[in-house]
Amino acid sequence: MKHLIGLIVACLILSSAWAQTKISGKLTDDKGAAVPFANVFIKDSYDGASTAEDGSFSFDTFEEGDAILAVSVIGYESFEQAVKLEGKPLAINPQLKAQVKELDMVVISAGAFEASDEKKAVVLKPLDIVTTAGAAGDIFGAIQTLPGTAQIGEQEGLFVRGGSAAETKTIIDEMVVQNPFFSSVPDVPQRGRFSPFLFKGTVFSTGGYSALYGQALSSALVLNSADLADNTQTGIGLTMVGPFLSHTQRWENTSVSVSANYSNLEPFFKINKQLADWQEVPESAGGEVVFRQKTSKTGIFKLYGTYSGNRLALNTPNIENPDMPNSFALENTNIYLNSSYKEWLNENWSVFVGTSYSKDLDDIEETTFNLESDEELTQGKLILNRQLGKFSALKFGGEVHSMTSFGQFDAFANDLEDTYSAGFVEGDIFISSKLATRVGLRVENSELLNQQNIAPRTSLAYKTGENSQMSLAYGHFYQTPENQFLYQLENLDYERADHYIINYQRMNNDRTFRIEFYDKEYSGLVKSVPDSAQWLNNSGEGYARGFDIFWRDKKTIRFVDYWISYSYLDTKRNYRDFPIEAQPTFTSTHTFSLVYKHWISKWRCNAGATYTYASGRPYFNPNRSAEEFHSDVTPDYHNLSLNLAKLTSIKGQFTVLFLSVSNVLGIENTFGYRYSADGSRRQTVGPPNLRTIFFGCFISIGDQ
Amino acid sequence: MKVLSLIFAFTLSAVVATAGGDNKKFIKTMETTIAMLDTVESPGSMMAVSNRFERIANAEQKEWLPLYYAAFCQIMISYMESDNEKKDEILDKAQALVDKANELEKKNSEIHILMGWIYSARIMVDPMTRGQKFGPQSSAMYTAAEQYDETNPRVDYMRGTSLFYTPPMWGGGKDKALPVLETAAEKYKNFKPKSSIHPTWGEKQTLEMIAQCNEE
Repeated sequence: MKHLIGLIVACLILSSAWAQTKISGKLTDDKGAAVPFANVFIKDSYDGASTAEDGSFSFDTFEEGDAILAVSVIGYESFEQAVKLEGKPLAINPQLKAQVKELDMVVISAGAFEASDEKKAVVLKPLDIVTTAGAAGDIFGAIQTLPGTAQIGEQEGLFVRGGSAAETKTIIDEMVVQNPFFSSVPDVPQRGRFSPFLFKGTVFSTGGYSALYGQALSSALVLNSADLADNTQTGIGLTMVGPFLSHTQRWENTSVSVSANYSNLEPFFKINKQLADWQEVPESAGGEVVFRQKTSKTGIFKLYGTYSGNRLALNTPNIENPDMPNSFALENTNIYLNSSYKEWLNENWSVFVGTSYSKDLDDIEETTFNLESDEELTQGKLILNRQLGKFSALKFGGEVHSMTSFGQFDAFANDLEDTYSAGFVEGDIFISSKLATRVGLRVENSELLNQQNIAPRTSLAYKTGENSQMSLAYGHFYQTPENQFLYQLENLDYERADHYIINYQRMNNDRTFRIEFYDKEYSGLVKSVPDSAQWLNNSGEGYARGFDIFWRDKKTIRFVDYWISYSYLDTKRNYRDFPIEAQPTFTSTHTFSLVYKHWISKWRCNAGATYTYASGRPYFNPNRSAEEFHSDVTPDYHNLSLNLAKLTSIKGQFTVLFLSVSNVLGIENTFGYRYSADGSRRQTVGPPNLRTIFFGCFISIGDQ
Repeated sequence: MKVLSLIFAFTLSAVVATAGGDNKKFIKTMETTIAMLDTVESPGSMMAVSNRFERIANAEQKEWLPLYYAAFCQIMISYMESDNEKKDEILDKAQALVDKANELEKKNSEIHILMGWIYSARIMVDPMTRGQKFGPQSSAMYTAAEQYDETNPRVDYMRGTSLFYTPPMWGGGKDKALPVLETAAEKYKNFKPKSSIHPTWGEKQTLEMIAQCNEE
């Protein structure tokens, strides 16, 4: 009896002795380097060890039979190997594959500047936009410090690489915005309508942009709105021009923000002497609603709506009769709605559906005429995305725009209607982590023009080193002629630009260098042909060539972040009413800007300066012969702006105090000249004010 | 017959012993691994402890505590790392572990403390752009942690710590931190962990900080 039990016990002891297996080895990566501190273990057991500095490991396990040896460590693909545990020591030397990080992948970047919090390899952060001196918190103002943009002081818009403002489209959540700026006022540039805080990411493309977008010959500014608001909070803004109030409520899967603002420039004008002759101080009021609903782990519904109304009046000099100034009064109402839904259907498929609506009403009274205009744009867009592996993807879809534009010019009424539709397909194919290509095709149809176009786009990016890459881009871009021409003649065709871009970029941690050469060939531009029966046609053409350089350094000087942009542009066109091929008035050959930001941690203060320079722009002088068209050039442009933002707290609430001074040196820049019809008199087109001071504060009250 | 029944009884007790021993083994391994936390000095040895917790978590798929401790280790490692990019990767891992723990044990005060702590650790990577976003998110987690267990001293300990390191002009400072830390100390006195492997950390540090507050 005892014998038997003893036998069993002995067996058990023996078997457990037999079951103890020693596993040892050395862990290396695919380059042969040791991987320390990794977790090496037998799956579903406690047994395992961490690797030492030299990658070696050793442990005993009591598990037996078939088991799985697993290795896990940050930065590497996980590793598993089947093992047989039979008590014999095992020597295993696993080799780990380094995980391909997004950061290490080549980026399809020709033509594009990206600002984002989420992605790491970006040139700008959204906050950079707000803290750029001279930008005055305006997205477009900050974008103007990037290379490729012209310094145009007498009207709003982004003038990119020899293109006019109309050649840049602003896109919010995949859909084109009809009126991104407040309505134009003669010689007074207007701000953008959208707050930079609405967006989590911005892609500013100076050329060669994606086939998902169209109707822009030169450039696309793609803004992606933020998802769910982070916190419940109330914001109070108080500036020289009026108050701003907002409240955001956050629930688990829902957030709603409501805001209202009123502005009156009276106090601003009191402090900042105006050169413009204001008759009615600009006044505006508006409101905004932002709704976000997380529909599932991966789905989100977004709704954004804004309403604003503004009015103003000023006198502008009358060159024909200096004693009788022209009057200009404007009343504008603008409504904009944008909704979208994005969801991953499964691991591989995602879908985006968006709709937007905008209505813009202008009522303008000028000395000699009245103009009422009513523009409406309704859009729908669908994008399907098929993931091909971790990084590659194929996108396709379509969009439809229904546009109506009505203009009552005294007794004359004009109206335009267009249904524009487009289909697109685009593949981002990563051939390796070093080589990627984007191939896209866009097909457009405009009912108004009764014309179709097919626009191929492609780019190629190759990683030349750990931190550097080269890119190429090529594409066709079409745009429906501006309404002012379509009012005169509907029988026109698309205007077209072909882009050729080559780019080199070096980016590591806190330093970025970029240089990009481009050639943009215009064709089919609207041209006036006064002698023919049809006074307009598409025979205009032109080119824009040059290079842009960008350098940003956040590292060399502690607490200092600066960037330098330089653009060289060679451009000529023969279009509109040009008698010969000539350089357009909205272009400068050399543009330079320096943005400097200094964080003074002792005072919790961000101080910044922006200096911009642009060489003189051509202007029209009627005293010149047709051969000398645009041969005169304005003086060079200089501007130095400063800003100061102090972060502090008032009664425990996060508060930002800010002060900005634009055109510190008070330089009276010349943007061009306006001549009387007989050419005997001229006047300078200059800024509406010189040095301007602006201050205010923003308090955010959250639950702390 | 007798022999057979004896063998049967023996094997049965062996089976029972291993079954009961499983839980014992879990608690025992947890206890020894938790004890290791006190001896850790380098990121490497903290990593080794974290790996142990992860191995236990891997074998005990229903237990939230090993995940909790592994996340705790990762947060500690993130403070020892100087490279911002790696810091974020480590915190991503901590977040993944804590999310898993949260799936297993909903509305747990201790887990929410780690969630709030991860947010404050993330602020360190880029205070300028992240402070305004993650600060309130972090305090929202502490509020939740307090809701789930009012007696948890680590809520006040974490709040007191962040006040301690916030400059006075930002609504922080030692004088503001002191009463909060004292509340924490009071709660630590009365705090009874649910078991030998439930969290108990923070008391020593609380007392140290109180001493520093009182120095001036």
